[in-house]
Amino acid sequence: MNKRFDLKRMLKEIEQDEQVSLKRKDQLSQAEIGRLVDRKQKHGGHNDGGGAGPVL
Amino acid sequence: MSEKGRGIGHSAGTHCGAAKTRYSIRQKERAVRKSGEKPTVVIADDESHVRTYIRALATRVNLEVVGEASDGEQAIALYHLHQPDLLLLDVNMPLKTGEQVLKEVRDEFPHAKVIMLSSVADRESVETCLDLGAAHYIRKDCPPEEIQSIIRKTMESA
Repeated sequence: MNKRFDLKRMLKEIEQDEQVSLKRKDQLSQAEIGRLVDRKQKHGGHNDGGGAGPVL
Repeated sequence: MSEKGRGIGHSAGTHCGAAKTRYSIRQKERAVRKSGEKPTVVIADDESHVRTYIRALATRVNLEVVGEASDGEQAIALYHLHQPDLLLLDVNMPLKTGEQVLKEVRDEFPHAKVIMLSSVADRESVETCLDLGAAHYIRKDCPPEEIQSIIRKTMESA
């Protein structure tokens, strides 16, 4: 019984870790990437600083 | 073309004088390329099934795949050897990362067209690659039609 409980707890911890890691990665959709590309091209390929936030 | 002919399974060479001679020969070849000839592409990804997938998409948009690399060093060597019109470059590769390859290629060939490929697309990685001169950044999980569209638009751009 204790073993099953531990497994459940471990699974929950793993799921929480996954959520944290996904948030940390700050994944962009392909549409968001497209907008970034357009913005870079308009600004001559240089980073305009608008939106380049720190990776949390 | 066999895997060996594309650069898989053997060393495609390194930065050296002989290789640079090959680059200039290749540049001359490009200069005399007929207008009707297909644009060329080198595909770099460490996973063979991804290379197969990307090769199929590149062929559909009328590109000729002249080389395939399974690591970063091979990607650089094949770029120097073929000087393709486009480099489709995985971000996460052994020996040299896609970002390192991108930087080296763009340092030497400032007009090189490079599209990054990745299964993950965190903002930092995307912005770094774009700042290094990548023409676009494609998530491998996006629909094949979208990948083809991005490749086509990149080839059409100046």
